[in-house]
Amino acid sequence: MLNNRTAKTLAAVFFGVFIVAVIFAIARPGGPVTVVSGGSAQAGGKYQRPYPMPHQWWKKTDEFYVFASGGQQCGIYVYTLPMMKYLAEIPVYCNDNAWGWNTEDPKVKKMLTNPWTGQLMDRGDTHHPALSKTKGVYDGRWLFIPDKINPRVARIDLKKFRTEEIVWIPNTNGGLHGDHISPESDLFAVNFEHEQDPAPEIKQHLGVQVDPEKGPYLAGFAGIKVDQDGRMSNAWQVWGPFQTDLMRIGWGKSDGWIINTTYNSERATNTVGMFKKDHDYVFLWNRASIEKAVADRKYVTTKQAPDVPVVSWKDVEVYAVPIPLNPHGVDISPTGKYAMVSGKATSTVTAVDLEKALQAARDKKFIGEDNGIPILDPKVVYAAQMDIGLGATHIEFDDKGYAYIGYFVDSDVKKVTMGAPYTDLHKKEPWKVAEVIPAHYSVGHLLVPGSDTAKPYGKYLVVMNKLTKDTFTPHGPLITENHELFTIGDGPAQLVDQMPLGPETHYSQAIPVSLVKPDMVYEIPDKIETPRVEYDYDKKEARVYMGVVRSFFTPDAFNVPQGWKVKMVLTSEEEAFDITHGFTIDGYNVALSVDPGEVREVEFTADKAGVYWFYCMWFCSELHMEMRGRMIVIPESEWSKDKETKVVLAE
Amino acid sequence: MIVAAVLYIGSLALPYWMVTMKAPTYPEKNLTIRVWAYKYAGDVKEWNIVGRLVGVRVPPPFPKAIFVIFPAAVVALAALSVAAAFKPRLSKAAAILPWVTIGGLGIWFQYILYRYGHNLDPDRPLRYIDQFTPPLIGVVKVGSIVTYHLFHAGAVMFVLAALLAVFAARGAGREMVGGRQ
Repeated sequence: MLNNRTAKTLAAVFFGVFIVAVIFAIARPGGPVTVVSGGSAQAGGKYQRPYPMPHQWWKKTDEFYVFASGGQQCGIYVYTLPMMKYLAEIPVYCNDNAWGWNTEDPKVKKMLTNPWTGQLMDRGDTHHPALSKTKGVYDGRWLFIPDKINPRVARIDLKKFRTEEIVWIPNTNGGLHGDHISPESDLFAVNFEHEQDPAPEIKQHLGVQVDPEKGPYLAGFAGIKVDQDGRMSNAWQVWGPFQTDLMRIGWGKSDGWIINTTYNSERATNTVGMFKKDHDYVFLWNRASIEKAVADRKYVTTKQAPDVPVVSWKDVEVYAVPIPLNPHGVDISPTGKYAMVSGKATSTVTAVDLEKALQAARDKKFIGEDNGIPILDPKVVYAAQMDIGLGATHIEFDDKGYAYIGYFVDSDVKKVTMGAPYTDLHKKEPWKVAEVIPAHYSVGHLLVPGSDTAKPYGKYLVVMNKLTKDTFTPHGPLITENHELFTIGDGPAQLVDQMPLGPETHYSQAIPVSLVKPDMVYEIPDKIETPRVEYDYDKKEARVYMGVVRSFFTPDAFNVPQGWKVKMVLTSEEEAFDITHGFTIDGYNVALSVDPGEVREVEFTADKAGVYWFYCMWFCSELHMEMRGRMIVIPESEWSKDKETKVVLAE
Repeated sequence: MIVAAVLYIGSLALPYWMVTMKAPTYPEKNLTIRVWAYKYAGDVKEWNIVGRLVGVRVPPPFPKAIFVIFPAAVVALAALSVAAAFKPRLSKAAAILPWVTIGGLGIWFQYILYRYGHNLDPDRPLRYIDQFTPPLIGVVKVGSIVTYHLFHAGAVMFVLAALLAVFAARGAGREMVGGRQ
């Protein structure tokens, strides 16, 4: 038994602990939360921001990275869900001063230079990013993004959030559009939307004449091999009579098939001509048959690309499914069973049962052919044709058996119940509109995380609107775009956020934050170049090896003869994350970032005599302003060897 | 005495001293340098980038031989302890010498710290910060940058071993010689 004194002592201790706990609970950051804004009551507190805002609150709420194509911005926007926090941009096809991606870096310049013409192509238009996959689901290794203006495909390394590689595609002038990655990321394929008058070898191999002024022209799509380290190479091209628009590479029930649409089966050269026929097509291409044609040497190569096989559409297994007037998006349901095709210029969306289509192909249930391509009987292969709205664009899928269809003209998203096997999930009558979700305005692509995989995550719907109109505060005639976030599930969708994002996202993909493990610094190379300046009088070239660390450039001054080429190797010796330096030269149009541990090259010609300061463009330390040095360009007539810079290193 | 010998040897695997810096621009972690009997290691490079502001540098000038002499002394103490376990007449030496060793090292190390704070780079940007002497144990504040100076596990094991040696010597019925604790 406790005596009286002990009991009193214990009571005092407990009371003291209680008081301290209460004070701590009240005083600690992020304790009591006052809600000042947020989403719907149904969405709950998760979408409501606390006030005051605890440090890292946004970060702790992030579930997905979104990689949104930038369109005219040339690269990729990165933001997070569900709080729609803009994080970063990944530059790809254009100079991007903000993210340190400029063509003074010879590596960037080489990637952006057309290998056949030698011309620097620093304009771009990115449309359809594709996350790499393993076993049909995202693996967080790479992001692929083609350019629509120039024929090239970039691979972004998600360890660094940097463009690692660009492969150029021969035989076409550009106009790449739809693309997709195979379930094991061994093949990336991309459509040629804009028809071409191709090289004579291709026309001869296809047995087709092309009138360069009147057409009809030819088109096709390219297969890019992706090796285990992500390196890309042109594997093959298929050419034929029709342009191709959007694409999916099948998985599950449609594994091994490349599925793409054409909106110009008329092979017309103007807008009206492309609307002449009542039907266009979705094509089903057997990937193995393309690879067999290559293996059997049923291909031609061109003078431009002697190592890239070009296969005729006549030598591969391909079928056409008629789709009403000018289809656009084609998207495949999670099991790979349905290809849903949007009738952009009609009021229909068609669900093609791919299992039945492939069986019909084996049973030769054709209703005719077009340019030698057998046309499958729609009565056999259509699972449904829904007449539910105007201007359908693209379709995404959730994990509960619903398809979400974006409508440009109707400015909304229709949530639709899918047929078997998805009826087991939603328990409703299939192929019916379950909900109409208003959007602002004119829907292009949609994003449901994981929609193009075997296991969609569902949960969120991002609507990428083509027009913004009155949504945001006015800011001049060129108006920003609008990404709208809805929560989705069994109940009604709820609009929880609208985010202005610059022109112009086409498509986005999202991956759980936990699947991407970016490095925060580069690994400093084992051998760091000793700071020095080398003069090559034969090549008229000065090579400057410069160390960069807070708050010094070493050397912080160097002389070069006027007219010489300057090749610099900048090595950041920083190990702390977020300590990026810049290297920028007054009056020389040179500006780059040097991330922690990064080795960066810079090349330019010292064509103007005088003293030019270079400086750090990223605020790095309290001595950032003082972190600068001089490039002294001396007229060649005044140059002598004693003016060479000798770097003396401090201990 | 045998246990003391084991502790002496074990202490060589652990740091004896550490200094850790807390600064607002390093939210991700404190910058820490640990000193073993035979080496120092840690965020030395980053420490020196910050230290450049006030003109300090790690390491301050010191004879590198200490990284051989001190471990040798620890091994010798361990050997002495083992010997004392069998020859009680050595117990007195085994009880006294560790305190002489660690005390001497402490005084010497404090001198090195003095040199660290009194060899400031004359070109340091923050010249308003005057020369200073970091304590062996304690806290130093330079503006918003705070450094904590602490003994580490190796030193604790050493002192523990030295205490055991004292108690063992007393247990042997010999005259006790105390040391500072």
